Amino acid sequence: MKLLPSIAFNDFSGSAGNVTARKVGDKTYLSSRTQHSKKKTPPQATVRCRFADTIRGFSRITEAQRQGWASLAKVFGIYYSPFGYTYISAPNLFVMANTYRKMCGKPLLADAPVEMKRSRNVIYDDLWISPEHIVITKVEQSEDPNEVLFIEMSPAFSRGVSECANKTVFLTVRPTTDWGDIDLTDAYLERFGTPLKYGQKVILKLCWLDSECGFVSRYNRDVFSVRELSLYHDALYYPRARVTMDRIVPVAQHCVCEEFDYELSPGSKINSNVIALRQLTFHLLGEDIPHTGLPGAFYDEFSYQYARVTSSTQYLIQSFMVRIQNNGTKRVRFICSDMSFRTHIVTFGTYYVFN
Amino acid sequence: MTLKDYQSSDLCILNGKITVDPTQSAYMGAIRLELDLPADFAMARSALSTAILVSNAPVYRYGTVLKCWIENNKLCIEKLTAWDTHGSYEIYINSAFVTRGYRGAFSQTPTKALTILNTGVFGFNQYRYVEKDDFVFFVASFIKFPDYNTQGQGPFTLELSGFASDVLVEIPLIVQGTVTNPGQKGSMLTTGTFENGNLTFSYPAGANGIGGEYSFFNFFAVRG
Repeated sequence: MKLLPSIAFNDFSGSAGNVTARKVGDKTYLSSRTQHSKKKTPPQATVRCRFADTIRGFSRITEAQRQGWASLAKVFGIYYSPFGYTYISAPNLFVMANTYRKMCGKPLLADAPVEMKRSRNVIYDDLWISPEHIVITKVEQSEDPNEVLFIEMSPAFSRGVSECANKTVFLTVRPTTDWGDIDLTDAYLERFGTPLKYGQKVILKLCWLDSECGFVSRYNRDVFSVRELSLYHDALYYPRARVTMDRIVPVAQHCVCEEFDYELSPGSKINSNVIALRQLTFHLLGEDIPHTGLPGAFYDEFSYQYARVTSSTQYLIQSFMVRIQNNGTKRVRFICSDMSFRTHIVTFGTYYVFN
Repeated sequence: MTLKDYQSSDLCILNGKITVDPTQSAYMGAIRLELDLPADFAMARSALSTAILVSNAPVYRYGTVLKCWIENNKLCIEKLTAWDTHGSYEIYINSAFVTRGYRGAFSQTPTKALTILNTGVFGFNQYRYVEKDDFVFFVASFIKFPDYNTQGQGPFTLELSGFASDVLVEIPLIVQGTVTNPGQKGSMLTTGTFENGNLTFSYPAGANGIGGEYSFFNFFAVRG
């Protein structure tokens, strides 16, 4: 028989049944007890299913396979984790490896691997964490094709940041960087729904993870304040001088742009690009592709470059002028030097750019 | 095989010619062509650049522009088999290789004026010439250019004032002219050599329709 003290009229703090009492000054306040919600967000549901599946997986593998994981766990013995010294059991090692493998898009691993390569820290130059941009720059590239960048984040909703430092949640896995850049802006919005606010704290955890082993051990985990300037060099956000398909209107009056990847590099100004165009109507002089606004590094510049015809007279080489206008006029203009624009062309390469 | 080079961490220039034998088993099994760069080469990876394939197709040496880039310390070149039946072919690399990911301001590209000395034979349609301490970039298309039908095989020399005299490079010239032959794949090509500031080239015998207006070239070349 459970004896419940009467809390309603006594000097008492605590819970009994579904009632919680708390004393503030000389008053006692009663409230209904907090119930854990059965509701969960889709990402939470995904993670819980993934975890449950992985746990069940250990019971489904053979005894020999379980022994393999036990042997591997013995190799680890007591090891140091970010949360202190830990002894890892065979089921835990199996679950850990396969949970992270799943996040990396790898299938469940029944046989214990020969070795478990630890994750390692990420070296980078700078990062912006602002409401508009979450971008890490000059990330040291891995030469191991199995390694992926594993990233967890969490916004801190209170000043007690240290208490939620271990509450980061999986954000994304990137097999490689974009020329040293990792742009997490879209991934963050997709995961957390709302953009960061200035002054807010955010926790970022990242590591180079061997996707075959799934062994998260060493990693960077830092708490940053959301601000306009970059965290290390105090620099304003400056976009790369790049034009991609998402910045152009691909279906124009006379042609369709099927591929557009253009970027400026210094020295003085050199582009590297690949652009594919397909003509819709017979129009020999040139083609215009509108864009929706480009970084300020573009104003009005042009390059002369090789183009390769991929229709009719296949592989014919043409000389194209690619002119990017980002002033009063917002378009990319293509002019063929011999005034014979072909049905389907691709222009690519690295060329000087002139104003 | 030796390539002439200029190297820095964010810009490299390579000049050279590779002969490819399409009957070799290693070639037939390859999905792209690769050349090992020296272990201490300054750039391990580059954005997309170009190379020019010059085939051994009879008379016109048809060819095209190929994708070319640096990856894992290898020079990688797109493989096209359209002219394999004509035997060994050549790939000319006279290109710049850059890295990406730059965030910052740019300065304008300085150009230098050139003057054609033999204007009776040659005339620029458009051109841009960039002269740096270690290399040059020259792109030109012509409104007046020798054509086989009226001027024969040559040799012809484009005499220039202002072009660096220490550039020695062999380049492909796109001399397609205005007429395409039935079943033609690629452009009509010939090769020429810049030496002592002038470009010299000639046409093969029987190359009717080759050259003339709209001929052009586009290359980077290392100086010295």
